[in-house]
Amino acid sequence: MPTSRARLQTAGAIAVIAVCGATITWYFWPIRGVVFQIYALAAIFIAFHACPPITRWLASTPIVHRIVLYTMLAAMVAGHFTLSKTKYFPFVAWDIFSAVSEQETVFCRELIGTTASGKQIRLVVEQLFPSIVQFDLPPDNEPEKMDRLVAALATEYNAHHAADPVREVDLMLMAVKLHLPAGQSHTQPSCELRHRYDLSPAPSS
Amino acid sequence: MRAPPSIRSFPGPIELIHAQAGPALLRLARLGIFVLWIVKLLLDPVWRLADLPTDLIRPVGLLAFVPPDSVPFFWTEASLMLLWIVTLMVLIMGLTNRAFALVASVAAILLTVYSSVIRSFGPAVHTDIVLLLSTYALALFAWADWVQARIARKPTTAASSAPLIAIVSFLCLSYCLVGLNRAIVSPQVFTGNSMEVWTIDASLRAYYFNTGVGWHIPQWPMVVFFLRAGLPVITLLEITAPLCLISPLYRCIFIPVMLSFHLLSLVLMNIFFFDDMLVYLLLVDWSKRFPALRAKNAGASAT
Repeated sequence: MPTSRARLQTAGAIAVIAVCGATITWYFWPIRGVVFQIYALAAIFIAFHACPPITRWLASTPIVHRIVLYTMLAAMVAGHFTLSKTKYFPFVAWDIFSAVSEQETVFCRELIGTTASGKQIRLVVEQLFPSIVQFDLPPDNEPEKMDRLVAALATEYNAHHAADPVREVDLMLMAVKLHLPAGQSHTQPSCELRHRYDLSPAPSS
Repeated sequence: MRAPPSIRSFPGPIELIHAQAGPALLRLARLGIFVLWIVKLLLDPVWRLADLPTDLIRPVGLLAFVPPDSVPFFWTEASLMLLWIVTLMVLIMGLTNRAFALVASVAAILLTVYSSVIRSFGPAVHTDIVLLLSTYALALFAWADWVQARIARKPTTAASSAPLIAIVSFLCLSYCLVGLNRAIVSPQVFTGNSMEVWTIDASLRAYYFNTGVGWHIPQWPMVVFFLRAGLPVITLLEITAPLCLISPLYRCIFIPVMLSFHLLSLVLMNIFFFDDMLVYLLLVDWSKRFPALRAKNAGASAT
């Protein structure tokens, strides 16, 4: 049975932690998202450290191995709190599917090529360059970058389809409404032509 | 007051995954991770990136240290192919288990450069980061073994299990950080249209995979309902992922639910992390099922 003195000490420790936590939270209120994540991670770390199988395993693990484990875990957590997904790669911010989107219509730009035989094909960066997992097309206010990208995509496509090369590329804006009017369905996203790139070879003189 | 036995036994046994793992399992894990990288490289014509305009490059990680003047020299077909060949050769050397600490360290550096290269044309993605950190762990723990062998001159059970437990920890911590970030920083995503917007947006963009299914969801109210209801469930599982380290019962729930979630992400959002799926193999405590994979003195150290 804990003595009244021990109870008092526990209550005092909890009070000190609560006051410190409240002070830190108040001081860092503008970045409270980070502060609350640190609290949650600290709680998880303490709980796991007190778990008997982990305690036993750590006790039997050489100090060098423990240093490696703690250093790597700390680096991962530190990388997350840099809030950067690229700068300290591979110690990055684990910010996935957290952007709040309340838009009613989802827009997406796409490049549609027309080949010499009239066939329409999608020019997808991630498929023509499989190294790239995800690619964002250059914004509308950077037309030179888009010109060069379209040329590169057409060249890459033509390298594998020399018999039926791309002659024209359309930059399309696709749109899908989140809430369809009652009784209405769509089989294709609505499309709007934004720009046409003519890649036909210049006639020889 | 003690809880009744039925409640106390509810979470099932609490035991650390891979605590009994021996050198054979570690060797298999090393082989698995290096083979996975080799397959990834063989499927990836990275040198083709030289055909993309260099003004689209947004250097990631180590590449940010390359002086801008040197970029045109680095982003050539020849240098990217050289990087590909050297990395492949080092990874193949890693399969032999000779001078593993040194070979794995070189592999880790080369793979970091390779992973930075393939990310430098688009938004940062999280695919294969856990696999890369696993390679770091294999290299660093191999050096730790080397140091330990000089200090104690005797290998321990924990030395074999440490890299495996570390890799599982990285996988679990990555999920936990994703879940905490979403739940704490942007809880509004659980109440608004965000889930539908993400699904339609990812489905409209054709990635490497292109199922073309997700953008139809406005016509399927039940799918929208399950997507919205599923997001907090998945986030809860992500936050509690570290329980995979100690609870076999939790792993029995976590593995099928998360595998289904990742497959659903492929169908509806064209997103698939096949390398992380293979790291899931380490969420099975193989040494418990196969005595041959257990450390010789495991019984003494695990209890």
